[in-house]
Amino acid sequence: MESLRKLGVFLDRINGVVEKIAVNMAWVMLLAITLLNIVQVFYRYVLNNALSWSEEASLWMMVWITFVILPVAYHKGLNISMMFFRDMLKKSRIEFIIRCLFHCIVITIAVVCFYQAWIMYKGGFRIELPALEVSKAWVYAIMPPAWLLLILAALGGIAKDFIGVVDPKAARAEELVGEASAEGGSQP
Amino acid sequence: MMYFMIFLVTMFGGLAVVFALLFGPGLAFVIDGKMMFIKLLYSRLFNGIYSPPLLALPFFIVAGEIMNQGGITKNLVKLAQAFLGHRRGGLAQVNIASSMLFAGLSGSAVADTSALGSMLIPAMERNGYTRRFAAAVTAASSVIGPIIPPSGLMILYAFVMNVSVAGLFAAGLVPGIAIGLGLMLLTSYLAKVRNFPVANEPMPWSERGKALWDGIIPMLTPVIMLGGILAGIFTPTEAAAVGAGYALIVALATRQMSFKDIPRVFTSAAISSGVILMLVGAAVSFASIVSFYHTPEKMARLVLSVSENPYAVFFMVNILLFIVGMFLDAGPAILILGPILGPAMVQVGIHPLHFAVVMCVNVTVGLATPPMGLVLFVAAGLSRESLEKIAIEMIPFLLVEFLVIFLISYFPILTLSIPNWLGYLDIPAAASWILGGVGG
Repeated sequence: MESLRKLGVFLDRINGVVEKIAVNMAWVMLLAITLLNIVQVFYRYVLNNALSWSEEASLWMMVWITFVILPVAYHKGLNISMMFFRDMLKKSRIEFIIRCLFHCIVITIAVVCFYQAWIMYKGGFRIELPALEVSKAWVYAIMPPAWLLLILAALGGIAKDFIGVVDPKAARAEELVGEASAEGGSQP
Repeated sequence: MMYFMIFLVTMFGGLAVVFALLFGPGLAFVIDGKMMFIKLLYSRLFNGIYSPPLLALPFFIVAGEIMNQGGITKNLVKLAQAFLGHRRGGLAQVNIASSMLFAGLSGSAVADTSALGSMLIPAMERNGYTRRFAAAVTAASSVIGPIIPPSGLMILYAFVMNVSVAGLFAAGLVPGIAIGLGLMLLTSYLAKVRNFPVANEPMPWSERGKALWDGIIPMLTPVIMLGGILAGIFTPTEAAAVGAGYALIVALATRQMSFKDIPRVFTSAAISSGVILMLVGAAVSFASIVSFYHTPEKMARLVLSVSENPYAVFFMVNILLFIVGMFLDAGPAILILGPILGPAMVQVGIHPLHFAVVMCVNVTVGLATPPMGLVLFVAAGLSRESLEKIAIEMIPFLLVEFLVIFLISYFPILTLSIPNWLGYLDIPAAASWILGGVGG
């Protein structure tokens, strides 16, 4: 049990570092595309000379924002979910079993998506973005690492929630401490 | 329909909607031995995100985040107070009017509840209202947020169902204003019956003028966005970017925000955008499976087997949407049910834009209903009042909102005349619709 707890803490720390990097990347990219689109309007209406590459660059960054946030949202439990029925189980052993099952489902989805993303990435070198004149693989490049990091976040969730399967009382106490320190946690 | 059952079981079990949307079809393909279609599922997920019309969404979220800054909210409340605060039940009226003004800025019911509720619920309590009434008015009026344009929810619907964003925005104006006015009328009546206090003495016109001036600068954001789109000057994406830029300049110039706040505001917007865009991608992927299995046709046959009368069908669908809205957030409800119900309703003879706006209004009202009303949760949290008490206090307000849903369902003229006037409907179809009513 102790080793599981240590593993959970270790994975949580890694996920925390990933979160910091990802969030910083995401806000900078969002600021960049906001400014880029304002500049685009200025060029189109004032200078009468639309930037041909702005839409491609914006879409590129939008895809990157979406995928860098994917593991962060999972780790912080920010994805929209219907907790009505699960809340009725009130953090019982069954609830912890369901959580672990859902973490496993997410890992399965992430593994399949990683494989598909990898194929897309490799195929992307054959496609060129017409305006930016770079390979589309650069757009796809964020997807495989994002799915891998999602697996890491889900593993962290299993390490935490499995404690609840074995000893629901201890897990409840730990979650209360976690909530008090506002660290949040993975919510499949 | 196995994919749909797996999706429902996992979603109701508490798996995040984004993963349930991928898991249902994925597992169904594995069970059916159609593994090769998993590639299709993933490519649709990517294409759902890598889509130019969706670019508007993060910019709307940025504009909303900036507008949620405290100072701008204060200016709007002051503006409403200057003109309505001296009436009986004035602060309750200010709450509703502020929601209508705020709707044009944030387009989000939850943002509306938290921004206005944190300011107005304590103020109303100090003014002699019960806490539960203050929370109920805040929650009930905040659903106007995603109905009066611009609205993130409508962008989602327009994207998934391929209807015109500008047309949908135009169609949302009347229902949004109707709900606001309906709530204000009800509050006037309640103010007389319950003898609610007045908030302040009538302000001199010089003060009203100042409040108007302070409020008008942020209020120009939706004017720029909507005006630009409806006049055909901007695309929705450009309008959203310009709106976000304008909001940023106003917030910085009026010192509602400093440069130091930029990372915080953009981080919050980036996280919300990422979560929503991934959900959209998963929903687009799910929608392709919905049509792959011919679900809308099956749904239409099922509906028509019960009744072929469009009035009756619309009634049943409204009940279904309301029940779904009680449990599911508005965004996922639109993304999941839009592709199933939209085509089915068109087959019954209902105009796509008409159904779009009714669906958006209905699931938005669901945000304020128990047991899973996000807006209700926020209002309960802010007022520290129990959910049940607020929910009971909300019943008359919800009845007004149901009445508006009923009116816009059965009188398409209310929703379709502005889009028709602006040229977003083809004239013969629109004319038959507006003159002929539902199914006309």
